[in-house]
Amino acid sequence: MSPGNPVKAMPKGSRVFLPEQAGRKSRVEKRLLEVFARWGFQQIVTPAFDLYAPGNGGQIRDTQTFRLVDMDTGGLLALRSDVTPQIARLAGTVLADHPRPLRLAYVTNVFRHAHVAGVLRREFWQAGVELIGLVSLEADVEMIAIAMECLDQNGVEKVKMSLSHTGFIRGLLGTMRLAEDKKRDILDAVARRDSSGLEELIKDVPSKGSDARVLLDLPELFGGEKILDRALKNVKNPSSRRAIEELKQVERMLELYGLTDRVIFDLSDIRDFEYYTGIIFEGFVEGSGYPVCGGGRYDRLLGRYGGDGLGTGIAIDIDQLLLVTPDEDISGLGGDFLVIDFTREKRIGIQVARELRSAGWRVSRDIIRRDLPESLEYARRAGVSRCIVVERNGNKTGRFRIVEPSGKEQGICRMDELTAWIQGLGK
Amino acid sequence: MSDTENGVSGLTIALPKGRIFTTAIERLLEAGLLSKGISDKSRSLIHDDRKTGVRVLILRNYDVPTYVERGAADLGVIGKDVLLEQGSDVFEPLDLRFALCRLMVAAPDGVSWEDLSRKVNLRIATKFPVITARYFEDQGLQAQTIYLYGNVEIAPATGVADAVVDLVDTGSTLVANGLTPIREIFSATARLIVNRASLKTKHGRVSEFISSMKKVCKPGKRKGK
Repeated sequence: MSPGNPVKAMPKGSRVFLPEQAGRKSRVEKRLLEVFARWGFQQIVTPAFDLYAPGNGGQIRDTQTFRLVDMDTGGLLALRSDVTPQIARLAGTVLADHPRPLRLAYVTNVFRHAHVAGVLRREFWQAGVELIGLVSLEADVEMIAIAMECLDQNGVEKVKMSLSHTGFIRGLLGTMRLAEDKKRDILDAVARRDSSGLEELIKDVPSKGSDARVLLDLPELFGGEKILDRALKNVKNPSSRRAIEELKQVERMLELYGLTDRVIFDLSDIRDFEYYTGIIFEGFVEGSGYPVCGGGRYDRLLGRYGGDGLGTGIAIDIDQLLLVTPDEDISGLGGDFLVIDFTREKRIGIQVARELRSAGWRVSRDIIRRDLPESLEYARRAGVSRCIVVERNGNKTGRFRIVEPSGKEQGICRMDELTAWIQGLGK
Repeated sequence: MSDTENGVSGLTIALPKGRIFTTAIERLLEAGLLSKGISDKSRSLIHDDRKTGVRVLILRNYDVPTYVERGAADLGVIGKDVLLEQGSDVFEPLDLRFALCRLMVAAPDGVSWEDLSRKVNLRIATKFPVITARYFEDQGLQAQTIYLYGNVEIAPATGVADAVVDLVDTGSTLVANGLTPIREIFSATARLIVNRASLKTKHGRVSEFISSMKKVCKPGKRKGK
């Protein structure tokens, strides 16, 4: 296929939010920021681009990073692909002397060249928090509780938070002597829950102890708390055992938040293996194949920038969240009043609009020349609550009608009663 | 949660028309996950089993992973060839051990792998461009992958390609077109695949489904291939 029309086409993977979607998006974001604030997190804004440093971006593979030439130095810049490393760096530099813990929140877009469900996507919207300077599992539990509240506040139902711990599989792999590419293949098979593939991969690994058998069992280690006991019974190495003990502690703390029946444990969840160093979690909504949020402990990343290197965080995928957030009633979202003035002078329409606005109402004027049914149809689709209709002889009668977008008449108002009427609206 | 931890009612499984379908239905009946057989000749493409509450979607081969990945079906049965080619983001927790398929490199009779690797401009015709490109890269060979929709066996004889990558069943089609299999890329049986969110949000029902299937798909049980 020839490339699209360069005048009309947009680059692949860019994203437009039309007014209705933009409205939904900003309301979702507002609710997220309110949740973050209620938990004591303060918003931070990070730069849209950074110095390009291969392998230093944290979670995002370098092949997914957008690079540009720095016109100042001739070196390379990278568009922001992940906010967490930016905040980790600030925590180790500018904010190094700030009292711990740091509680920081953000809402922003990030740029990655990535295929999601076979479709190229390059701009992603995210909201998240980072809790820096705490070693306690209470910090991790707080992240899970906040993520849950974010979904609840947006009316998302049928959510399960899936919990895991990177130390479990790291411990299992540590008991076997494996080449790097073999390790990668095994992690890949675990991520796909491919038990027969795992069997094949482990078949010829020399000197495997009983923990290798636990690895084969891994794809079935998901479900309630029982699976933690089952794992603990069979696993010998200290790293895996400690991971399970930590998950059990987390489970007890989640009880205090009343969240135990909304989480499951899935020890095959590994997220980004090199990035996370402890408790990790992902939130799933019934009917959508992709996690709507995720996070975990990332002490190693923080350690890179100095300081005590302790941190945990969550990121919420706003694009996914918008897909699973129930539709809202849009009436009223397009404003409180639409003024439809059929007189030539428009004096009444402009005056009514001005006085309504100064009383705090959102008012727009239907400036297009069209008949009433068409204007009302517009009001319905735009989500306007009420219409002010000034008839052609309005200057003579000094009156206007208040009409619902459905066409239902709400009343008639004389201009000399305007102030009283507006007061009666009660704002 | 709506998850009752009991039964498999309300789960949807996607099955591909053709080779895999009949055996998949047999196994589902045997596992008690369906109470009545379904034919893929049926005109209706959605079937609800009144007794078990399982819904079956009948799809084209290549659409099965897409439906499962996007959550339109909780589970699916599909060949490993399709999974590898599409690279879908789904779980594949159970090897069903039926519908064996072998993907092979086949060359004109008398042409060896060494002959192919010495070619300056090696051209491979296939219906599996992703797997083929990756395989030749892994072998350190530069090959041009030529995507064909079908009947790839005639590509070498007509000069379109030097060799082919294709599924080999009995091998008789290859022989009839003067080709010999020279390398096996993989050999695998069908997989039970699961949507990532379903495994978490309906884990009680999904794990019951998986373990019921596991009981009737034991190693070595390869009748119905």
